[in-house]
Amino acid sequence: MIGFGGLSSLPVLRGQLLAAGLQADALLLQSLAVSNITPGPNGLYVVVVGYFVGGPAGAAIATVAILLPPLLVLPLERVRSRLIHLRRFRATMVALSLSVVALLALSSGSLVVHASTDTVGMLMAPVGVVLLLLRVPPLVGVLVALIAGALMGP
Amino acid sequence: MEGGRSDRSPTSTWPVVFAAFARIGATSFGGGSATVAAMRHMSIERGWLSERQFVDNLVLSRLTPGISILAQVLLIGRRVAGVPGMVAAMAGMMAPSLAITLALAWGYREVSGYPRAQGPLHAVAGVAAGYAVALAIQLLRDMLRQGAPVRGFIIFVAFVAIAWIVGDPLAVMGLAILAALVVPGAFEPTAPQAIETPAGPVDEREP
Repeated sequence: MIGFGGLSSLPVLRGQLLAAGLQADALLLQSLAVSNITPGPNGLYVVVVGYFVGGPAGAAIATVAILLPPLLVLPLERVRSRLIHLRRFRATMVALSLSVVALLALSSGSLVVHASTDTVGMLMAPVGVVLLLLRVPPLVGVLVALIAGALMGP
Repeated sequence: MEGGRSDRSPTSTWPVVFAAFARIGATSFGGGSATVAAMRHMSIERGWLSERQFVDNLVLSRLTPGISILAQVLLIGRRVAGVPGMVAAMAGMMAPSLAITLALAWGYREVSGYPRAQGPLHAVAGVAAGYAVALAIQLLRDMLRQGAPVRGFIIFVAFVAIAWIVGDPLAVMGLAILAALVVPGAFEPTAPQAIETPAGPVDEREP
């Protein structure tokens, strides 16, 4: 599981879900919807994907998968002072981060397209963008969506 | 060699660490930045870390693959109470979040079958998609703030184009690493003069 925090793992995970023949965008949207309501790191959406795909066992495997990569921080800490000063290392981190953001931009765009099947979906995606950029707590946005969906939904 | 490093001396016990992180794990709604802010407040208030040490840990964790908050949790836990503290910190952070997340995922499954739930759930999915876009914007903004915003944005647009054409995310990330190794100067985050001086910075060590 490669990725640098939060939703950075989304593009790679989306690719793998597509390769496995699953409805990647629908699955990811549902999982993100759930993980936006819960406390703790955003990256936990991966556990929800695991649960939706493989039940409790899938969730357990996904949990192990997200616990392993951060362990790399321990060897990294030992070589910290040397690494930070290596020019190519810094350049690699910047390049990787920019590429991950670019991938995330495309994937999240694809999620918006998938969610915009009707008026409510088309309205809610920009609302989500604006609310989060204004630092409104994510729970508020979810509540707004629940009410809007109940009023305008089918 | 029995834990000779001075920065590893335990300052608390693992049950204390577990309880402290469990409280954060259960209450930090609002994603990454809220969690980091809560951890910072707790570590400094309890005298577990200095401000400087916290920032050092933060930077290092950002460089680590995976969820960087979890890497930070590991570092703080180990500093405070050794390896037991590290395990306790991780368990404390994950247990409440995981329990709530799984309960909600189960609830979502149960509810999603009802026709009347379709409208609200669809709307929530729309907001979730919007949040993903907003996060991408925030990440890009943070990256461009590190210096050379115009160049950074051009590289970002180039990566979007490459990702659009190539499709495979891992291939795009591989290309990014390759580009950085071949022309590191194009990605240098700070101080352009460090690139331009022919002598080069002293800390540069070519392999």
